Amino acid sequence: MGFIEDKNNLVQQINLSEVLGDLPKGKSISNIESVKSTSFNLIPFMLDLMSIACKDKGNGGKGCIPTLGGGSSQETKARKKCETIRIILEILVDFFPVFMRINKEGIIKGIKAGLLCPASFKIPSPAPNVTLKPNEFDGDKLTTLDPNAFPTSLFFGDEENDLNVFLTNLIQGGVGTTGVWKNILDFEVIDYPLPSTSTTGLKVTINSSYIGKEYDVFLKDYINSIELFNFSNFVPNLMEELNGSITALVGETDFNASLSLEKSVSKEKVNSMVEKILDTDPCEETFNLDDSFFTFDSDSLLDIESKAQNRRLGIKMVDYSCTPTAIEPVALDSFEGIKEQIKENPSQAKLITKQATQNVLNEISGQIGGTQELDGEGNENVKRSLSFDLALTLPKLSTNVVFTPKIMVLFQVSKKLITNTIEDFKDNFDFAVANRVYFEFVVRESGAALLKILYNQLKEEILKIVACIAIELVKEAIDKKIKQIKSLVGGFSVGGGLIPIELPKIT
Amino acid sequence: MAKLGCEKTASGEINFKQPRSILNGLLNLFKIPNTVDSSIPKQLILASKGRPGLSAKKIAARVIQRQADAGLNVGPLGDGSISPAEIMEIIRAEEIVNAITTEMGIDLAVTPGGISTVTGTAGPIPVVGSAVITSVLGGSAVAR
Repeated sequence: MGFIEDKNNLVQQINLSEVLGDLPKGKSISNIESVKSTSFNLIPFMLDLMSIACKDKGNGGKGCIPTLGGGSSQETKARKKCETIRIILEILVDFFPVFMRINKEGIIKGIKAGLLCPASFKIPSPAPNVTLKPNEFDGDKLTTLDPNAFPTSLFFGDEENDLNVFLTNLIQGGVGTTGVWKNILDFEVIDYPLPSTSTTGLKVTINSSYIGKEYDVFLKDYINSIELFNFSNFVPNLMEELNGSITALVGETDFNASLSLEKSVSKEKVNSMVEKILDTDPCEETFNLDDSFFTFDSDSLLDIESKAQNRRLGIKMVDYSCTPTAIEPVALDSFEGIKEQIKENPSQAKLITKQATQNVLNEISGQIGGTQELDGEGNENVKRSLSFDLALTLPKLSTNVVFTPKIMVLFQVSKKLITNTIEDFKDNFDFAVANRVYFEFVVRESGAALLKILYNQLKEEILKIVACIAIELVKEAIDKKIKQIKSLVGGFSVGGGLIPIELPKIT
Repeated sequence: MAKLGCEKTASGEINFKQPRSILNGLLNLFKIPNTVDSSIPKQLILASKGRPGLSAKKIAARVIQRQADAGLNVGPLGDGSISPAEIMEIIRAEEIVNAITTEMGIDLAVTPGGISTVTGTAGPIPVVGSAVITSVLGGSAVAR
């Protein structure tokens, strides 16, 4: 069966199930863009399917699952729950740990696949080390920023768990500063000699406690020791990925820390590669990750440059309602000090983060023509498009984490260990092209992480509908049997043969 | 070697890197196992002789009455004329009943067995007698 046909079939299944279950369908399902799309990126389709299938519990509809049609306050509440922007909010907050766990697994798999890592080998003695220039582990110069002052603090997580904070403090300590990361890696800031001058470099050594241990053990211990993203700062970083909100804020206060056009173009090229990879089916016979994924025609380059220029200003142009609109830098003030708030009230972490996230989503929704409040009657299509954009940004964000020092250090150490070389590259795009297998793996795993969460949520909703159909089928079978038996044992009158035909109730 | 992301997964597992695998997984959720309907006691089936038989008019009346369940108007049109849709329901019911009563055939197979009582003369061979099946036999039928 064809790919689009399969998607169409799924939507029809839900529609049919609703009709069979005595449930008038909640919204028109014809002409859904994501169903007709030839892209193999299923994220928009899954979100659409979710909003079609999603039903709120127990609001007393006609069938065994309440309807979405009509206009009662309960039905309105149900519809709100099913809005895609709310689904995104839940993914960002409630499913954050799952998303991170799957992404971590993806990075491990990517490194092993990208470096053609043998199945199993042991860390040799003496403990291997690697000496890196700043651009070889921190192309975006994260370690030059202040991890404690707002807004640059939004790029960093907790001191105890975020290796980027640890490395930033180390680098800013100057040449000679040393540190040990959780007995896994030893670091030393060194003077790295260049042909005519020198720069601050980093010497990384695998901790001697790993000598003789399996490489797999080292990989797992390392990835489990770091925080991929900080829960409280995840949404600001998503906004950064969407339109460069944090970069714009940073640039306002410190021009030297603002994003260069060259770096911004490189970032947009990487994001374009992510989109291209996710748009393909790796199992298609004709699929091949060839140069077309890394080369751009003049039109694409113009588009990339325009996006890069906008990113430096913290702007993303969208066209949700026939009028191009700019998503401008979002006020991330509510995230200032959020880490401290969560530390003081750890049991309220989800609530605090949800509230701050909702504020941000409300603000963007207001910017692009929806209403300020998610609960208000806004333009459904605008909100839907926004939530699609946010969802499509998620794999980009989790892919781009591989360019930050905490993952780059792991990659370079692994590369030295396996191939006895290190990767020297101009920018992130250059790195992605040179390590296409690793990069493709991470992108696919990031996309898969989100799809898995969406699938599990969708499964829950579909099973509710299917359970409803199963109940209806059983009821139908029992009802049929009772009627048959009644008709055989005198449930109908044959005495006079004068059974009145029930007349339609005309009102 | 399998292409990246296209690795085989165990049967029944979903590979979230493969769009088709996800769609198949979702489609599989809609599969509801069939249950075998229990049979009506054979003795009770004999009582079906008293059934009135199919009536197209009665079926049409019930369908028209239930139009309201689907949110459709019931009754004459605004100008007082009979709704063509309701006339159509009568035609539909008539045609279906006509087809069932005049075109449908039933192929019946009776399950072997049962108790039969044979009576006859015990004269010289061959014995000729008549058998009466005294138990109610079951079977299966297929409509065509």
